[in-house]
Amino acid sequence: MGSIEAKNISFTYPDGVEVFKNISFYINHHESVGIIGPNGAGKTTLLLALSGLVRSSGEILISKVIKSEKNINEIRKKISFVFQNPDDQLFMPHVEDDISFGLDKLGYSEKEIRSIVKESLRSAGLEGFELRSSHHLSLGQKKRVCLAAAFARSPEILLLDEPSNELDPAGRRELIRLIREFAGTKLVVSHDLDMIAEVCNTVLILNKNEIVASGSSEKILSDKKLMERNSLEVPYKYR
Amino acid sequence: MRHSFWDHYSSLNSPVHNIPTGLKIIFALFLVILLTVLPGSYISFASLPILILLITMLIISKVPVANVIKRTLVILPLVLPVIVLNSIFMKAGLKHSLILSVRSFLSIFSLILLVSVTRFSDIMKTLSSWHFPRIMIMILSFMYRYFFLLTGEMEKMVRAVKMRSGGSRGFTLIRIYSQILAILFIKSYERAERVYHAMLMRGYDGNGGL
Amino acid sequence: MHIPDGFLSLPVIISTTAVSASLLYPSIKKLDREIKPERIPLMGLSAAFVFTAQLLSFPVFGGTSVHLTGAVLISILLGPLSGFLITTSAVLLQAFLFQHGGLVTSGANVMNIAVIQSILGYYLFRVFPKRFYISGAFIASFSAVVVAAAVCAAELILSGTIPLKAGLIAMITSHLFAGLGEGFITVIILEMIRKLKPGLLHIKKI
Repeated sequence: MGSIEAKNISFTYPDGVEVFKNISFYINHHESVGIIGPNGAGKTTLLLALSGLVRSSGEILISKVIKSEKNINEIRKKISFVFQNPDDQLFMPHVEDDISFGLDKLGYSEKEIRSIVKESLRSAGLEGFELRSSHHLSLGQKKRVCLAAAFARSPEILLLDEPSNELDPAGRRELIRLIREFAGTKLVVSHDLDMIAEVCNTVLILNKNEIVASGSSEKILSDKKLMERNSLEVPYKYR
Repeated sequence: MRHSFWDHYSSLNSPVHNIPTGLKIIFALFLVILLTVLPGSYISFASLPILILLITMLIISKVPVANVIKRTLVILPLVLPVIVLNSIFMKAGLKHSLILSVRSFLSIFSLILLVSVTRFSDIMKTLSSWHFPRIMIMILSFMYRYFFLLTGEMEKMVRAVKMRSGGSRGFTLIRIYSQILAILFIKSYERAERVYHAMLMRGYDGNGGL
Repeated sequence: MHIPDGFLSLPVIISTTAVSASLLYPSIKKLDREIKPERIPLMGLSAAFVFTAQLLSFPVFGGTSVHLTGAVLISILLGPLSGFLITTSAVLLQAFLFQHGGLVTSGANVMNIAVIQSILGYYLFRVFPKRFYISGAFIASFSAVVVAAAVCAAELILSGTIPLKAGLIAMITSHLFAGLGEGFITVIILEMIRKLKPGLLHIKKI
């Protein structure tokens, strides 16, 4: 339930640029994993591959089920993916529409959906925001709506792409709190290493097409030489 | 943001706001059609009661009167040339044009009032219940949702160009502005791919949802 | 030009609305059949693009400015059916949001802008062989604007809103300039897309 396994997966852009080559890893359920690495290393693409939004070679198992074209919709029901830019996933007229989009496919009734929307907004600190339009919200509020929408699906796995990007300190704190509240498996791509240090217990470094290191956050993030070799800096927690 | 006046005023609470959307649309249509078909001679004495009705509804709706009047002026650049043209080239042109102006002014007033007291999403819901084509509603909703974002992006690019272009005029500026639009389209295309991904992640298969 | 309410007589309103509706109905059915789900966000965002682009004021000389309608442009990029529906939606939203156009005159405005420019303009573009892509786009956009102006003039004249000779001359001459603007802006945009993301020019036209 909520495990992720990648077996020798590779992805190359149509123009020939290799993003990652033959990488393998296993993430246990309820693990909180940070994926870090220099810019352009393919971290976002990795999330896209795990979600089946780009086609990678190799095998991917979600909750021990091999992902294929036939079962991709069933697989996606277990995953919530929060994109880097909230405007890419808030496309409905009102906040409540964005949160409820697709909930009917999960089998909920209209009444259940209404109450799920209310509850997820409440936990995200956005009580009463149902009829607000996302184009009038601040970035921090938009990100919280995206999180609320992600949680509304009660996923086994949460994928987050640069969640704290461009947030002010208060927004960032709030976001970290909300992410930590999620009990399922978490995969967080970020260059906000201080956040990774707080939120993740395992870290993978993706660089030059491969996973160059993996292990507990403490071990990896505090290793100054390792971090610098991969164009990263040791976060404050471990300095 | 200057364009968000619609959202702002349409969310107010008043007896006029609370009239069911379908009724509001039908009433506005009725008024406009009436103003279109009434013979010129009737317009002169029908226009005052209609104006009073509209202003009364406006006041009850709590939407700022000055704002609405200002928005009706958008019709001037079309009405004035017609008045001039007709006065010169048409028999009894001036009288005819003035009646025309009254028709359009009251019509646009009705339309602005309708739009100021009705939320966009309610209009979409009502049109949907009237079996307006689903794909048009989808396109209109997307348009409304992303319009604010795109104008923001466009304005940013235009401002940047203005700061750097100094006194560029005419053709150079047309070229630069056109390039801005090209970039805007490319960005929209790329965003559409990401939105599609977001929809896929939520189980979208081409039916329902929107 | 977007015709406001009050400028058209009832017979003209009814006939233009009938023409527009009779073209919209089968077009929507056809698009529903042919469109793949992945094109839907593209249509929506392209519509937002057209709507936004129409707001951009291109200063020319003196105090005058020109605006892009984009009806032919979007048909060239996405296909005539998509262009038709997108342009129609833009016309409708413009009437609601900016009162650019009117409630009952929407049928005529859809006819002038979506039918004549998006559809006819597109097929005029298609008359040209591939190597005349740019000049074809220019001529199609320019002609679309001028023809639309003529049809618009006809609607106004038939409604008794403007006089025949003077009205026709005024409408067409004032739109020659707009047509030139449309032509130039359209081809510059296409050229720029070709430079930055050429693949975009080759997506399936629906």
